[in-house]
Amino acid sequence: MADIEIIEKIQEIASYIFEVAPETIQLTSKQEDIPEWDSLGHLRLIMSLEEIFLVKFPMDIIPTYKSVEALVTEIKKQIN
Amino acid sequence: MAGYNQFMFELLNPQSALHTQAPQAAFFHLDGDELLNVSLDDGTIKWEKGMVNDFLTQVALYARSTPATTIILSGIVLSPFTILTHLNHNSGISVPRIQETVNRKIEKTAREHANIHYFDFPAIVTHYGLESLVDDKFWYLGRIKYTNTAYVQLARHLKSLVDAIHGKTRKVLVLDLDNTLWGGVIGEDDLQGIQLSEEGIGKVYRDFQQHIKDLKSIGVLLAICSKNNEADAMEVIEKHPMMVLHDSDFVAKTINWNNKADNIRRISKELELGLDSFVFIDDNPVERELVRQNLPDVMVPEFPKEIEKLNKWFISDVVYPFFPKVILTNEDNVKTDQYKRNIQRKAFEITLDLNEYIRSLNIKLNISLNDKSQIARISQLTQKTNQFNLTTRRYTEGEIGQFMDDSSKRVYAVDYSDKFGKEGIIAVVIIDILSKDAIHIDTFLMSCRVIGRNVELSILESIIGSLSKETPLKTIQADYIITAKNSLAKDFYTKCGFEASGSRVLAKETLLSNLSTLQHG
Repeated sequence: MADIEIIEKIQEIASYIFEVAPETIQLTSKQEDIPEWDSLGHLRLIMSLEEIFLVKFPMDIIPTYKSVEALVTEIKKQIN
Repeated sequence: MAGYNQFMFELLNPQSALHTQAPQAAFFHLDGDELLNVSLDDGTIKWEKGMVNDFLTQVALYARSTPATTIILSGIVLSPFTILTHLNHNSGISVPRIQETVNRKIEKTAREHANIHYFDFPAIVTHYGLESLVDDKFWYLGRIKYTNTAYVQLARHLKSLVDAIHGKTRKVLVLDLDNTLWGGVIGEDDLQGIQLSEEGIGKVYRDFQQHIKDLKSIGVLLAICSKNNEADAMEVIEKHPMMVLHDSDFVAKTINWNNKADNIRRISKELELGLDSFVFIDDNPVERELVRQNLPDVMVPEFPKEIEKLNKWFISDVVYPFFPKVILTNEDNVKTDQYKRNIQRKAFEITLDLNEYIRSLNIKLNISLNDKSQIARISQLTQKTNQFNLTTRRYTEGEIGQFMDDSSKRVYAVDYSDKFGKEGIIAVVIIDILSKDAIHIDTFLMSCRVIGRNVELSILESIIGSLSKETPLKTIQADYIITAKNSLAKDFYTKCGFEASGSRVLAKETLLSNLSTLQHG
């Protein structure tokens, strides 16, 4: 899967969960820039990403993914 | 998501949202493992029996204090695999039995209160499995109990239950024939060529027919809408030895080459049921689309692409969403017969003049007052009756029960029979006693099965007559609240001699003399 497809899917899912406009979510977006990306939202996002991309994020690492880029990197690592 | 103390606090504290906001519905979903805290102590099993009893006592008290709130209690599930391994069932110890005991208690509480209902969460777990419903990672990280799959299924099943409680259920299932009730096309394959048997694909269709027959036995009306030569199709229905459904199971049949939207519209007219009571099943996407576009009120579910999924699909995507039921009334078992008699009555109607016809029916009405054994049927009628319904006020069983206990209200139920048979309860009237000589008609509704026989006039006359015997009435107030469907009832009160004043119609003493001159059956 190309990077752009992964980013677009994350954009779609994250904007739905955080209830923000899709363009708010970019590759460069960080958790601290998006107030709606709180700790519960973060878990819901991770849960949905696991279902959509058929990947598993390790429990101890989950709190450390603080940007879209970190998520993309981990997803790419697992699916390619 | 609230812990034990929080939901008990909600129930116990009169200032909590549960008490101050009088919600329409309250859903209690308790985590069995957290709630019961099952443990082994000196070789005997311990669990929080007291908490379950306290919880159910408080829910029952809450239910009685808010009869208009629908309360839904979820059955609990305990993790089936524990350190007890095979001690379960083989020794005196049995965790599954604890789950059973608790759920029986919850069910009993639900059965004892008209406004409490049991939600079968254990069935969802049996079907999908705890493995796909619970992910411990998110439970430990953030107390998120369930996966997205679980929430989707909880929401679907909860909606189905709430729809059943509020009587939002469809009435007619319209079925295509070829490749829907059997495999193959009768116009192309011959009687032996179609697939309907005890083996393979033929068995899929035979099981499907059995489900449909079962659905009919709990009050859903069946109709056929098929593009076929009628004689070909009837040959299968009447002669194929593996048919489960027979000609007599269908209240209406349109087997011809007309477009299906017109045929379904015709069935709707014949049965006098609105198109929003209809569900249409057809394997052909073109027919489905045509009906969707022309009759947007008819529900047309997708048809499964793999035929082996037909039966599971039917239960989960047709029956649960469109035909859910939470209670069975006597009327439900005999519904098809009633509609068929109606069609017979109509045929009979053409040959006689109307008054003559009504007299010849030998109609007998039996009006009961505050009869608690009829609460389910009365509530069902207020939920489902759209056409001859003057105010269209929907009431739950809890509310009807409350009215019957209220000395300022009267709840009448009218039982109908005629020479063709019994119809059961067909009309409901709810009266508010405003003062010693004034009343208000809160609800006046009648099932459209008996429309056109002047029954409504007799009912109003009898009830006003019996109330006037108690105390002479000076004022009778009544409303007609217009809806998209009740134009049939528009002139009823003026016909009875009521005078219009704004949206409300008022009747004076003249009403009674007017009424007595009206003809009734």
